[in-house]
Amino acid sequence: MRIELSVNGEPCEADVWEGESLLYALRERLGLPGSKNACEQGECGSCSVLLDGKLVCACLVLAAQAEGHEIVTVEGLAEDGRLHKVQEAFVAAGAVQCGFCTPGLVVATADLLARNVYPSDDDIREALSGNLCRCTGYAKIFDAVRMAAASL
Amino acid sequence: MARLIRTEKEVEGRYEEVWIVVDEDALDRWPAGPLTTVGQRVPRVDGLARARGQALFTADLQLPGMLHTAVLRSPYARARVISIDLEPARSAFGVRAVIGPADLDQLTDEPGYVGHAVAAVAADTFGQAQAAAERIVVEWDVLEPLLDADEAVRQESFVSDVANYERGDFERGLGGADVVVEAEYRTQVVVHNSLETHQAVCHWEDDGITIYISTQYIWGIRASMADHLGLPPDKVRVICHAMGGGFGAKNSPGDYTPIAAELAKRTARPVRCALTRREENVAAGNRNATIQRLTAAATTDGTLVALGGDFVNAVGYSGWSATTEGPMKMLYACDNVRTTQYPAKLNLPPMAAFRAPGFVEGTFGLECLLDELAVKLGIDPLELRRMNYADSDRTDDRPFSSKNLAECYRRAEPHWAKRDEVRARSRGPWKHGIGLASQIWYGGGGPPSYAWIRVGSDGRAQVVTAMQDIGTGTRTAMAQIAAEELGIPLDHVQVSLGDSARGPFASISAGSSTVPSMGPAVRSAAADAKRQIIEIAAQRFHLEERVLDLRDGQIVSTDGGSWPLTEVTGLLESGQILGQGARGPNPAGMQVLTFGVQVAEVAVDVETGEVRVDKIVAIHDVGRVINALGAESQVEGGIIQGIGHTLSEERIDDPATGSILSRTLDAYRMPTIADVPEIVSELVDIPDEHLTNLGSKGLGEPPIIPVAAAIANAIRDATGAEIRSLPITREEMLRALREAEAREKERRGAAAAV
Amino acid sequence: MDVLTPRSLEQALRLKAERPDAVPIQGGTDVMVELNFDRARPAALLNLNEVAELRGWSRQNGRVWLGSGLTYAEAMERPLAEALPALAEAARTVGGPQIRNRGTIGGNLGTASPAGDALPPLLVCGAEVKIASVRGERIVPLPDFVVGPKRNVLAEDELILGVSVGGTESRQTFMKVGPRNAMVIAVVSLAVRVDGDLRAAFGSAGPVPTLVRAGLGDVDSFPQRVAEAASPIDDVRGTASYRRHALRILTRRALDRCLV
Repeated sequence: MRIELSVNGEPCEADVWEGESLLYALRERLGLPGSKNACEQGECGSCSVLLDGKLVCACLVLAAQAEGHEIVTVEGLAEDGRLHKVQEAFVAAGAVQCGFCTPGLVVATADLLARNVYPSDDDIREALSGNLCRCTGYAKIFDAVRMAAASL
Repeated sequence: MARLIRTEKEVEGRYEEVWIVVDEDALDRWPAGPLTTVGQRVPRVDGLARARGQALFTADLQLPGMLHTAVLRSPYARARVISIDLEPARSAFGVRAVIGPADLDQLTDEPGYVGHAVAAVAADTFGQAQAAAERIVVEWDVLEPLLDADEAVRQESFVSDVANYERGDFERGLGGADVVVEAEYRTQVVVHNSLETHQAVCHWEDDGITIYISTQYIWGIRASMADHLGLPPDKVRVICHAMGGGFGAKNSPGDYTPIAAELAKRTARPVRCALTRREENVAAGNRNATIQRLTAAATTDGTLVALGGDFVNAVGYSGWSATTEGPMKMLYACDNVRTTQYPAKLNLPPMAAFRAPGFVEGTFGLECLLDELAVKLGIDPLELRRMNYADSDRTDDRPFSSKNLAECYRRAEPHWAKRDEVRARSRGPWKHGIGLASQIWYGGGGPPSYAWIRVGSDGRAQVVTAMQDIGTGTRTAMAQIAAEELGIPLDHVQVSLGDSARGPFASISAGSSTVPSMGPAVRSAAADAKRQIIEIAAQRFHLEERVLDLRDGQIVSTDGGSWPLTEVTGLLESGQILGQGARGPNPAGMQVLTFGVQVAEVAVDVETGEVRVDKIVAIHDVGRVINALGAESQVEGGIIQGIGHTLSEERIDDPATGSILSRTLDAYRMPTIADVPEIVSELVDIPDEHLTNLGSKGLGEPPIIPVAAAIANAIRDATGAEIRSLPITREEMLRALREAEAREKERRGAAAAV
Repeated sequence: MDVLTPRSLEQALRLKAERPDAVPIQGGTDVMVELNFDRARPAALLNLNEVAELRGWSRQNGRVWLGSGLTYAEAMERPLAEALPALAEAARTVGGPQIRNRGTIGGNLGTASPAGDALPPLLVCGAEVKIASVRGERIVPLPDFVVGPKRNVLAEDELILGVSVGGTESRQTFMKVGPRNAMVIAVVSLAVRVDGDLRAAFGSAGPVPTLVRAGLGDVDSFPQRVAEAASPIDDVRGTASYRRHALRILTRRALDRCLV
């Protein structure tokens, strides 16, 4: 089936299989591999995207459900070619190791800071608890969120 | 001059004797402490690409015409294929090739564990391949599996020889002891669960093959695939630019690479074989379970007079048996030590190295037992460890190249001194306590490893070496070392790696060896380039070489002269200065090890059995620190993996069938950001003066080693309960509390009887 | 496979009547896992995302109406969270924010898992499930709605419209035991409400979430009664004996919290 949706501000179309996820459509059909596939069940957050401004796991959205809706992926966070502050902060704070979870964490952090400019540590824990990272031990991710919050 | 030497090579605690050719390693030592670039807190040079979602992982690779693979894996722990019909899969929609046990060594008709690969299908999409694989008809003869490790020992079912070790006289030591403690410890199976699953894309071109793979060792893949395919090694090109975590599980080609290679050959198309998360939890390796029956004996003054243990490694169907007994043999200066290690072969998925294999498990047992001994002796646990400090490797009396564990202990003191304060936080059902554990491990790396460096007319440098960055920040550390030696800014150095066709041989990224193996080669290459630059500058400026140096992007002379580097390199136009370097040998006759200590603060809810880790202080001695920011992140990452290992992670098997019940990330519970305690990390940062031109050891593995024991010892401090089994589930915690209560009752009863 | 996307409730009910084999999908947090893992290949999916009538919540005659499309994230927001604090606390323990933004109360009811986090809070608040088809509407008390592990009374042409919940002025709380601090499927979960009587409902400790009631005078024996009402099993998440033990401790603590 053919779907029409907006991805990173651009209208686009994709031919998808009825049972496939938005994640599959983004990665395999729309050439946007930034959102990662790591668990296929909404446990790891590596595929986090914004659906009409709400943070969701793209693996748990049926591609067909995205018809007529707006998606923002990690590739769409940078504006006017300038990096998003969250992306800069993740690098500066040392919150990136292998980087496979990073796109999802960056999107989740951008979502947190859009709603809460001064997140407490508990706010950070709650907002990022759906994003697994196997490398960093998360300590530098706390630093990155605080750093990004301070720079916004 | 090239020199041929015979040396011992160590990876993950396993030694082999090898011939190697090394270049001399005669550079001046850098002063201790942070330098201009080396030792500083440096953000990832490749961080932005990752944060933007632009880093290209094997999982992201798209090649024209690429096919996808589904692997049919055995649902039985032990079985025989009576017949297999691949035809229904061959005729399924989108299918391009199907292979079975007759077609490839890695596909078996006698599976020895659940998940053993039996057949594989390549199709246009993964969904088609999966649907086709389900149509394969197999008639099974299901056999009785061997699943119990103790039973395997009884039946002498082993993957390798039983390892016996004794120094001194264990029995005599035991006879002279005033206090003896004995306990049985058990550790569970844990799974690496890197976020990028194991996968490879194979593509035959001309008469060779290109393999894109998520790996920790591109040269190892090259060698084993060349051997497997019967090709000269240079016909096998291995590429890994970014990979999503390995932790020891991605050192070899696995079954997926040969499967992809065979299907690619049959279809003349690029073929991806990527494990699903469910396959990852079954067939991609694991930290095997152990059973440790341990004895420690001391005289009343705290001198350890005997240490002994039977260690059963539940290795699985294949793999190797890690040195779980290593900490017992090496950590303390005990004269009488006897260990036996049984490598049990079982019908369970094979182990793979996992961040300090053997030592994580063995340290849990030994360091918990030592605390039980300290309680019985009435000696402070930190003091007991100091009393039995080893000044040399007691397994062969070799001196250490450097050992600053005493300094680690000294720095731990202020944290350890808070014991009363921490205990006083106990309120209601929540009991607080503090515990510590020591760490010993390898991490010296070794030769061979090579690097090239090229400096262009713009004065910028490119490090070229065919190593891999497994996510630890290798590109950044290598750039720092080159920048430091060349006296140029960090952003004037690029690092090209990840492709066996571009650059010389480089070491495996495992066994905490990347920095200590590769770093010296990169420094050596940079020094070679620097020597040439100075030779040219001396001719250009009519000065003696000995008065010239490179600093801050300038050529400087001792009389205060200073010229931009480009004044010399700019003469070259398209010419380049080429430096090459090699990793020198490890110090002869010395043992190179890493050390550390961790102090844990925990709280235990004695009613529900919930354990909360409040804080971990980690102090490690790994020689010179190259990147303080990256090093801290390694420590934090190791600690959180250790907390997962200690409290929540466990592969759950069906004890009757050997089937794996925890195949997804909701069932296999890794720590989330909500589980992170306060972490304080401190690195001693004293260069090892005998080790290479850097004095650096590796840090990837040490931080995970003492975590479980430090937490268990803190639990004892808080509650009196003795943890014997990982993970410390609420059930295990309540069991230990009940046992402690019964022990206390018995003690009071005995006291009353007197 | 067909994807049917109705734009109104009327359309949705008609499509469900025409295609009773269509599996309803709202937030996708259960259905998509089945599809991704290739455990299910339904002939059709009924995408309810565009049916506005199923969204939101309202107050109705002293009770609260929760549309089946109400997400966990919405249940955590004031003023609804103040009206139904136990549900809000339960919603907070569901997955991560990505799951809470998508997962719905209707989905939790439809899946009818013994571990469904929303079910114990709804049970102690006397929830009644409103169901509709082209044949008409009916109301089923929640204890009668869930009939077994992952089984409910929905006929094949019916959809869940929402639930009506009472007890909004009562003291109530929710607790959950899991092996880590977030992203936890309950080892055991518990909602307790103290109003005219004592009510407790638990999840993951029997084939269906179960409600236990007692008089206000039975505070001391209530934790034991709750534990005894459970019929837990040993599974990969925990043992039956631990689940019973935890229910007893949690009930006592929940009562302490509600009786301050």
